[in-house]
Amino acid sequence: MEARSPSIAAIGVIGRHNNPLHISLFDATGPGYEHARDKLEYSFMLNSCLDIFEARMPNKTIGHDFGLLHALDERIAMYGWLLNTGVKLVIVVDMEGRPALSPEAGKTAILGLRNSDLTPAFQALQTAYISLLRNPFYVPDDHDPRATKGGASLQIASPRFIKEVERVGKAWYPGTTAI
Amino acid sequence: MEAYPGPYVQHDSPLVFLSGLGERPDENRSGTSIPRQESGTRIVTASAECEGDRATQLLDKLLGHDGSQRAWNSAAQSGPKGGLRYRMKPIGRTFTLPPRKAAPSPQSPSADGLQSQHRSTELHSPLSPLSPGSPIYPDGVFTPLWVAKHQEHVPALLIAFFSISTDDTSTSRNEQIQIDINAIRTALGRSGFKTKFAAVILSDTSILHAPELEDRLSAIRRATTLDLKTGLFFMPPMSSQAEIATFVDSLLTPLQPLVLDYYRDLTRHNRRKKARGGATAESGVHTLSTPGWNVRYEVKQGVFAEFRQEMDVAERHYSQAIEDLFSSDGILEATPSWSPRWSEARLLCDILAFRTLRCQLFSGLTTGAAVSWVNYRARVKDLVDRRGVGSQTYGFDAWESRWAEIMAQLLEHAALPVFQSSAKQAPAESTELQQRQIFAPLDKGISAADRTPPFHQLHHRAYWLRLAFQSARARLGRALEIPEEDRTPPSRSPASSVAQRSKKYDTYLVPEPDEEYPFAVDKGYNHITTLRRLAMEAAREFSIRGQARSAQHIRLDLAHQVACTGGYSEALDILTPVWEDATWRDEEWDDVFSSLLYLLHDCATHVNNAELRLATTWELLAVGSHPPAMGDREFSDYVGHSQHASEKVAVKFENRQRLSPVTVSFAFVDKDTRVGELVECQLTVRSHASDDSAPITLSRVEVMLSSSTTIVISHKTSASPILETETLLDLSEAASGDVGYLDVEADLTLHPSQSRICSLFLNFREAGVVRLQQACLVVENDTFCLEHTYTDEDLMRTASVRVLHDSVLQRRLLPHSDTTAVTVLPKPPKMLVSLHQLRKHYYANECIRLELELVNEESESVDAIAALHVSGDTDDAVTVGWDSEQASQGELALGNVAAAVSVTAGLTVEAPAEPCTFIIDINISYTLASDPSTSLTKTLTTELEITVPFEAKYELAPLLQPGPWPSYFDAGDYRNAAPEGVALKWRLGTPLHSSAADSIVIRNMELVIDSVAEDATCNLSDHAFQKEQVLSATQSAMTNFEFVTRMRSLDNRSAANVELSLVVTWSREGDSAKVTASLPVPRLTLPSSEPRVLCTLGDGPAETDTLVLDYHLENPSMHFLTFAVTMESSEAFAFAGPKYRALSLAPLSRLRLQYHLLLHDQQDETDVQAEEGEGCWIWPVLSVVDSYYQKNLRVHAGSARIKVDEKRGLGVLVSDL
Repeated sequence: MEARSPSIAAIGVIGRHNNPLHISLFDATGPGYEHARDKLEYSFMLNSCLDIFEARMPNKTIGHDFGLLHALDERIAMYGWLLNTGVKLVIVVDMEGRPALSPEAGKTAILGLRNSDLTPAFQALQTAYISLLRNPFYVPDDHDPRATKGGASLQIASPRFIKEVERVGKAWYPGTTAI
Repeated sequence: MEAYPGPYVQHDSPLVFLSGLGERPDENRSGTSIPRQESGTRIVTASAECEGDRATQLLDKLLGHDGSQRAWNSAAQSGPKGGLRYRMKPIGRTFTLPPRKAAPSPQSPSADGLQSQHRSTELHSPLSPLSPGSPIYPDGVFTPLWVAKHQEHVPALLIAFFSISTDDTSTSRNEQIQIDINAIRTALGRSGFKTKFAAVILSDTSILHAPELEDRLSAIRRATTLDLKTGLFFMPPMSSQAEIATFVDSLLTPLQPLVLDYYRDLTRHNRRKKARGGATAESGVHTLSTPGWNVRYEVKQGVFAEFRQEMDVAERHYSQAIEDLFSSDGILEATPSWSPRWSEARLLCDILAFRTLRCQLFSGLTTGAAVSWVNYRARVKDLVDRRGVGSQTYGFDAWESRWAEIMAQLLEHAALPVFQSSAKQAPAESTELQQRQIFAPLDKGISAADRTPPFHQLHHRAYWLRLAFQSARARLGRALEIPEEDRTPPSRSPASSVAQRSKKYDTYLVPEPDEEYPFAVDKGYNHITTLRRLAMEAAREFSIRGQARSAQHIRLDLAHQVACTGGYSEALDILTPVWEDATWRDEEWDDVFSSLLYLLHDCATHVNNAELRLATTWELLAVGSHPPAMGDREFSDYVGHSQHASEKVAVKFENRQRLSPVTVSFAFVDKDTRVGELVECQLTVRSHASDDSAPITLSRVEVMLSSSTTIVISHKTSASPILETETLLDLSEAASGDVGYLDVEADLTLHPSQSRICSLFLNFREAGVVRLQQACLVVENDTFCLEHTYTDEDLMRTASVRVLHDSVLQRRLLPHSDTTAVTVLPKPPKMLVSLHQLRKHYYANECIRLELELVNEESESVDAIAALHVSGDTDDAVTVGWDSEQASQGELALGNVAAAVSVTAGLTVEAPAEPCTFIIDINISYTLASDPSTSLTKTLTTELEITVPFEAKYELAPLLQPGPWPSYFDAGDYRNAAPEGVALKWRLGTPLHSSAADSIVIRNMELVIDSVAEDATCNLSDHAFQKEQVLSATQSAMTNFEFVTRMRSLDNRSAANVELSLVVTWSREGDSAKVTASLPVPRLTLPSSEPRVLCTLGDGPAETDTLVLDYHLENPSMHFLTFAVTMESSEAFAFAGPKYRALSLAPLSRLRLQYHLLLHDQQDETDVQAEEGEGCWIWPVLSVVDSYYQKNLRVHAGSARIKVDEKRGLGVLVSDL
C-alpha cells in the first residue's frame, strides 16, 4: 500500500452560540481515496465537537487550545480552538488524507500527530477570522442566531475569508511551522 | 463477545471448591458439560454437611472473595501480591472430577490392529487432539472445553468443612472426619490432579471452654498428617461478622501460595512438554503440526498466568500464540481456508487477541490496547483478503462490528478509573478529568510531545459502540445486496450455486446468505435488533457523558436504518425525542436538522401521522427546503390534500419550540404616547422559505397587547398578487373606535422572502406601560389548523420600522431599544402659560416687572393657583412677589378661569446688587371644574441673569483751598466747636464705564459721605452733576466732585479717612423707571500734614499776552522746611520770576510763587494738543526739592485749565492770546 500522510479533511468555524459559520471540506487525494467528502456527514462530525467544547469549557480557564477533541476512527480526528469571542475553530484531520510525498512524510501517518502540529493552521485561521472582523462590512451580530432571530443565513460569505480558509486547509501538513 | 464460547471470554480466577457448606445455585455460568464425566474420579465424603447460621455466614464471607462478578481491572482483582480473588464454588459432599486421561479405546488393541498402530499406547487428556474422543481430534488446536475444565471443574484448592461438637464425645465422629479427609486426599491423588486440600473443623465450643477439643484436633492431625498452618484449620464459635471475615482472611492467606503453586506447577508441566517437543512423534496425515502444538502450549501458559493474575505474562504468551498462528507455517497460513479448522483457528486467534486486550486493560495500558486493537484489525483484514474470501463481505463487516463491540464490552468490564463518573473526584482534578472523559491519557512512557496517532488515545465505550454500529450498518448494506439466487435456502437451491456460495461469502460466525437476508420476513438474522442494541447503548453512553449531540446523531443514524427496512413507526419512536430536544434547531445547523426533518416527514407520511407531517412540513419550510413530494403546491394544499384523517388536525407551537418559515416582528414607532392619542405600530410578517418553494398563505395573524387589546389581521386575497419583496400596508383607516379589538384585512400570501409590513394606529384609554404579549400565526383550512404562537418578546422585537419616503420604502432605526413596549402617559395639561415683558438683560438693583399670562385651552373652566419659587446661586435672597394684593407666600389664587379665557398677573422681581443668575419656577396647578379631585400641573421655568450695568473708577487729586489757614499762634475760641485743622480741598473724578448691553440714561450722580473719621470733617461742595447723560454700551462718562477735609485739631497730623459712595440714578433709555445704584468708593486716606505744591492759573495783568502761573507751596507740617525751587526754561515760553531760589516755609504756612509767562508765537506742532478752539498746552517744569530730605515735590494741578500728565508733568492750557 502506498504511504499516506495526514491532511486536513474539513475546517469548521462555529459561532458563539454554536451555530455553524463556515464549513470547508477538503477531499482526500490519491488513488483509492477518490470519493468526495459528504457535507452532511462532516456537519454531523463538527456538530458533535460542540459537546466536548461544552464539557471542557467550564474547566478551561486559560488558553484557547482545546487540543484533540476526539478521534472517530483511525483516520478521522478532530482538534479545536476557542477564540476570545467564543467562536470555535475545529479542524478535522484525515490521517490518510493525501499520498505521502516523501518517505519521511509517510511516517507521520504511522507516528501520528502532536497537538502542536495543528497550531500553525489554527493561528492562520485565527488571523483570517480577525481580518474578517476588521472588515467593516462584516457585522458579527448578523451571524448570531440570538441577534437575528432566525431567517437569514448566518454563514460567513466573505470570499476572502473563504479563500483563506481554503488555502490554510490545503497548505497544512504535519510539521509545518507557518502557513 | 457473545458470539464466542463462554469459557473463552470468561475471566480466569483460581477455582476453589468448598465442600460441606451446602450448595448454592449458580446462575452466572451455564455449566459446560465435560464429556464422559462418569469416568472421572468421584469424591465422596460421608460426614454430614455443616449446617446452621454459622455455616451460612462462613459461606457468605468466603463467597465475598469470589471475583467473578468484579470488574476486570487490577484494582478490583488484586494481583498475586494482594489478596487473590477466587472463583468460589460451593459443592455438596460429593462431586466428580473430570478424567485426567482419556479412557483407553473401547476396542481392544488386538481386535483392530490397524488402529492400534496409529495410536500411541500413552494416554492423553480427553481434550487433547491426540485423544480420539476429543472434539478436536485429530488436528484441532484448542477447545473451549479445556478452559472450562480449569474454570469450572478442576479446582486448585478444595476446602472441606467438618463440624465437631463437644456434646458428642464419642470418637466415632472424630474417626469419621479422619476417614473422610484421608479418603478425599487419596481420591485427589488418584485423580492425577494436583489439587491442594485443606480442612476446616468447625467447633461449637472454643478450646478454652473444652480443653478436650485440643486432643481431638491433634488426633485428627496425626491421623491425616495435615499441616496445622496450611492444611488443618480450627474455627471456634464466632459471634460477629467481622470475626468470621478475619477468620476467612486468615484461612485464605496461607492457602494463596498453594493456589499459585498449583497453577505454577501446571505451567511448569506445560513448559516441559513443550520443551520435549510435544506429541510430534505422532504420524499421520491429519495431525496437529508443530506450530499448532506451540500455539497450544502458549495458550495454556497464558491461561495459567491469567489464573495467577499475572496479566503481563499472560499477554506475552497470547501475543506469541497469535504470532505463531499468523506465522508463515502457522495454522492460519498453512490450513486451507475452506477447512473448518481454519475457522476454528480464526476463532482462537480472535480470542487470543481479545485476551490480549483484556490483559492490557487489566494493567491499565490503554494506549497499548488501542494499538493492539487497530493492529489486529489490520492483520485480520489482510488475512481475509489474502486467504479468505476478502473483506468486502457481510461476514467481514460483521466481524469488524463484533471486534469493535468487543472493545466496548471489555471497557465496560474493565471499568477503567479514567472513564468512571467524575462525582467522586476532587474538584482540583476536575480539569484533567473532563479531558479524560472522552479518551484516556497516553500510557506512561509516551510523552505528550511525541507524535501519536490520535486514535491511539483510548476513547470511551460509546465510540467503540459507534464503530460497531457503523460496521453493522455496512453489513446490513451488503446483506441487502445479496443476489436473489443466493437468498434461497440451500435445500431449494441447485447444488452448484450452494457450492459457489462458500467461495463468495465469509460465513465465519455469521449465518449463511439465505439467512442473512432471507425472503421470509420473520426468519433469519435480525439486523435491526443488532443495530438498535448498538446504537441505543452508544446513545446512552454518550448521554451519560454529556455528549447529547453525538447521542442524537447515532439515534438519527439508527432511525435511518430502521426506516430503510420499513420500520417507519419504530423509526418515529426513535426520532421523536431527538426531534423534540435537538440542539440543531436553535443552533441553526440547518443541513443537519433538515436531514432529521426529511426522515421524520417521510416516516410521518408512511404511518399517516397527520400532526407530525404538518409540523415537519412547517419546519422544513423554515430551514429553507421543502418535502420532495410537495413540489409547487402551496403549504395548505400540500398538507390538506394528502391527509386522510377524518377529523381536523390542530397543532400549536410556541416560540422556538418549532421553527417557523414565517417570522413575525413588531414595534411601536414611539416610545411613549398619551391617553387618547394615536400611536403607530408596525407588524411585520416575513417568509423565510427557500426561493423555489410555493407561497405560504397565512389565514390570520393575531396580536395581543398587555392592555388586552387584540389585533387580528385576516387574510383577504387582493385583486392583484403582490410581487414586491417588501410591502407596507397602511391599515390606519381600519382603526376602529372600539379600543379593545381591531379587526383588519390584508393579503397574507407570502412568496419566499417576501414581507408584509402592516402599519396600524392604536389608542389607549389608560395610562401605564403597554407591552406586546403574544403574536400568533394561524394557517387553517378545512382539514387542519396550525397555530404558531410567539410569546417571547425578544423573538419579535425589531429595532427599525419602514417608512415610505418618496414612494420608496426606507428603513428607519428607532431611537429606543425596547420597541415592543410603549409608555402611555396621562393626559397632558392644556393650559398655556407665558411670561411677557421679558428682557434679554437685567441689571443689578433693577426692579424687574413681568407679566404672566394664562390661557385656558381646556374645554371647560378651571380653578387655578400660581405658585412662585426662586432658586439660584445668589447669596442674597432675590425678592420675587406678585403685584396683586391677594398673593400670600408666593401663591396667587387665580380663581376660576373660563374656557378659552386668558388671565394675567403681574410679577415683580427685585434684582440684587450683585451680579447673579437665578431661576424662577412658576407652577400653575389647576383642577378642572368637572373633576375637582384631579390636579393638573403646568410649570414654567425662566432663568434670569443679572449683570452690573456700569463700572466706576475713581481719581483723587488735591485742589487749592483759597481760604486762610489757621494760625499756629492763635488759641482760637474755645466756645467755637469748629474744627481748627488745615482745610484741604480735594477733587474726585469718577469716570463711569457702561458694561450694559442696552443704552442707559444717567439721571443723576451724587457723592454721599458714608463715614468720616471722628477726628476729621469732610464737606462736600455743591452738587456737581450737570445734566442727564445717555450712556450707550461701552461708553464712558466723567463727573468730578470736590470736597474739603479738615482735621478737628491742629495738632492732629494723621491722615483723614473718608468713606464715600457714589449714588447713580439711572434708567433704561426710553423708560422712565429710575434705578438708583449706590457704588461704594474705596476708602480714601487724605494726608493732612504733607507739604505739597499746587499750581493755579493766576489772574495776570490783562493787558499783556502774558500768562500768570501761581505755584502755592504748602507746609501743613510742624516743621520748618526749606525748598529749592528751579524753573526750567522752555522753548515754548519765556518767563519772569525766579529761575532758581531757595524758599523757607514756616510750619503751617503757605507761600505763593508767581511766574509770568510770555508765550512764543511759533510753537511746535507737537505742542498743539489741545482740542480745536481751546488753545494749546504748554508744559512748564518747576521742580521743588525739599532741601533737607532731598525730596522732589510733585506739582499738583490746583485749578481748572491745568492738568497733570503722567509723562510730561504739569500742563497748562493756554487759550488763544
